[in-house]
Amino acid sequence: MKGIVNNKKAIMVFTLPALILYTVIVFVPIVWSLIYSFYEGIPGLGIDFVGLNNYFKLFKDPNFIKSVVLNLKYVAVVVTGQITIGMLISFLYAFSLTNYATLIRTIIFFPVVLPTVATSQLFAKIFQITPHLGLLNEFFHKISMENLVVGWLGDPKLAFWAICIMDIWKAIGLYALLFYGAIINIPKDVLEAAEIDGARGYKLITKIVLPLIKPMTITCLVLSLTGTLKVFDSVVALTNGGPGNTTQMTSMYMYNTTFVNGEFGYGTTMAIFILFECLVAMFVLNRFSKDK
Amino acid sequence: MKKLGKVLMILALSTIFMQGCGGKKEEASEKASTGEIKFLSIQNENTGAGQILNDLSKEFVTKNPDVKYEMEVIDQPSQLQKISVLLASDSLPTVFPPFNEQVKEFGTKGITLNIEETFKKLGIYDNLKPAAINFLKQAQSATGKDLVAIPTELNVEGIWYNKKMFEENGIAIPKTVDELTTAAEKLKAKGIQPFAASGKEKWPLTRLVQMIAMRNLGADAMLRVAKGELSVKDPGFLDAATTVANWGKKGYFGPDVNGLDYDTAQSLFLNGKAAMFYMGSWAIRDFNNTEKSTLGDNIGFFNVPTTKGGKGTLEDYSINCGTALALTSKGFEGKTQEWAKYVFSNYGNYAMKKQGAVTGFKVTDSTIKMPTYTKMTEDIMGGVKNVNIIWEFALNNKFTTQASDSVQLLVIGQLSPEQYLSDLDALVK
Repeated sequence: MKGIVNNKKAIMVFTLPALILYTVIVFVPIVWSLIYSFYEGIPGLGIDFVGLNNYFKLFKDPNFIKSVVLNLKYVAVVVTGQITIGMLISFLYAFSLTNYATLIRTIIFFPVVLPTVATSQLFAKIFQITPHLGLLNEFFHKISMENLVVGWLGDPKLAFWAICIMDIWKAIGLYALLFYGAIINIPKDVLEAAEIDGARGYKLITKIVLPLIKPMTITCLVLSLTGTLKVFDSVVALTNGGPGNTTQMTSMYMYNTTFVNGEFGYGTTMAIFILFECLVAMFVLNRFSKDK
Repeated sequence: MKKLGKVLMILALSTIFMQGCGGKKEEASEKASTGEIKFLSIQNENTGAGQILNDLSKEFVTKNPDVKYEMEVIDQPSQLQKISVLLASDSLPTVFPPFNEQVKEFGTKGITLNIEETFKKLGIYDNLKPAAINFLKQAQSATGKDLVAIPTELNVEGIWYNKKMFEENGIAIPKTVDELTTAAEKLKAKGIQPFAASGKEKWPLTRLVQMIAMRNLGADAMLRVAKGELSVKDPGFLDAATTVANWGKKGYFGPDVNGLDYDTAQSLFLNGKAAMFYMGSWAIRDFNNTEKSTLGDNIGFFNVPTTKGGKGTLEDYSINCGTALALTSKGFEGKTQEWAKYVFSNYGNYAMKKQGAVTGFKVTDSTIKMPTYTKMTEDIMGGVKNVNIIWEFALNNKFTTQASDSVQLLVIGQLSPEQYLSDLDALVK
């Protein structure tokens, strides 16, 4: 075993197929896209070289800027919601839950495995107002809060919060479980020693637990950030960017530009921009994790 | 160990390359030969043109066993990509639906056939309905005069209404848009939702704006905008946008118009929960369906009314010909021509017999019985004098997308009519 791991040639042989596959599937399309972003047209029908025109166009496009700002707002709300609520639930799992622990964890995790489109259809029915009152509106109607019975998905601001609530609800089970796994990995004697030294509740969490689960926090932030920066299916299924284009995220605008308007070059430029956003996020997280 | 390493590396690399080569070989053997008909469709073999063409082609193959026939169904989102790929590899199918502006482009470049010439040569040109030819020449050709697409359907749009609701509330068929607004107000006062419209689909709302604008400015208003002879900021357009915005404000579309999808909006009308429904005559297959409609014979039709001092008339109708199918020029010879002649001479009759559908082809078999609403549609079609060419056919994709997206905000009062039109003005190219 030692011989194989130390032998550089052996390492190369075992990793090369996977490396080639990875290069072909991940790197080649990225480079291809980068090249497309300097052209305009429809591949197959005729593309023209336009140099950096697409990039200049990008920053002057009000719809694009709108979608980026919206996307960043969404990222801020959903990442905070998913991580914070996930973490709080994991504390519940680790420090409070005793009876039916497995059952409760399973139930809370259940939304994670639901298909995104099915979840969106579910929430569309919950927020519905016509032809029948949906669950939420029916609830407000029953407790006589008629001013809250509105078309949630028909109002730009409310639709945004509807998407955020749905996506937070869908993922907290996963993050709760991940954080829980990290917490139970903390050696018992560390927690006992801290308790003996007088650290309880809030202090225990902030001074002992949080720093020790920092690697898991970074992992969860990575997962959450990449998911929210690229969000597409849940928004399309729930509001389709509506009303108007007030809930249109960057990835959706990219899709429409490319496949509906036939502007492949310009659309690819947006894809490169999203890639850039993800790289920046990773860079920042990397710095954060190396701090100290 | 060194030798083993080298051998393993070579094996790994060669397996990957073999996979790639294997794939290419399969494609080469699929190359089309004469007497092979390929139908690319965005409808499956149980719906609309997909069913009609497929069934007729299979009949032709039974009579001509040496001809190979194949149907491929793709979904609408993949349409542009699929056709682009086929175009790039010079393997366009015999008959297929070009994507939006490709209909005009392919026709102009000769990639697809001129239908008028081709059908005249095959002796089947007289099978086409004049209204269909008129529409397609104006809407689907670069010159405005060439026929480069086949009318698989012929649909006329207008306002379908619940006759009983109108009678019970003493409402006559509105002759002007002002009368229509009054009628809607009367219905709302009685607790009836005046209009059923799908805001989620977007186009049912933009169509209302367009039709009123064209009543003000004439049936060719959008074509004039495309040519630069008319601005979308013209008072005729502003009046239209303001009317529809006001209808939204007054609640004539119901509580959450943007949340209604096509089926829900239609079922509101068909179950007696809304009085009027602007829609195309393709909907009659649902009107004829007792599982979907509780209204029976109770549905009437009137065209969008005129406006005071407007150029548009009641004989101007918005019609369309369904999915435009085109015939590829390359390989259109011998058996393929015979196939085309067979399929397109029987198209009208078969569509009526099998689906009760009105198409751009004449129904020459007088023994075929037409359901109530089909007969109604054929009669309406007889009264079509001028065609309202909507901006989906006259202007570019970006304009249409912006108009559709923003109309959702227009009807909920989040966008002023002035701003709606001025945003569109910037996209007219």
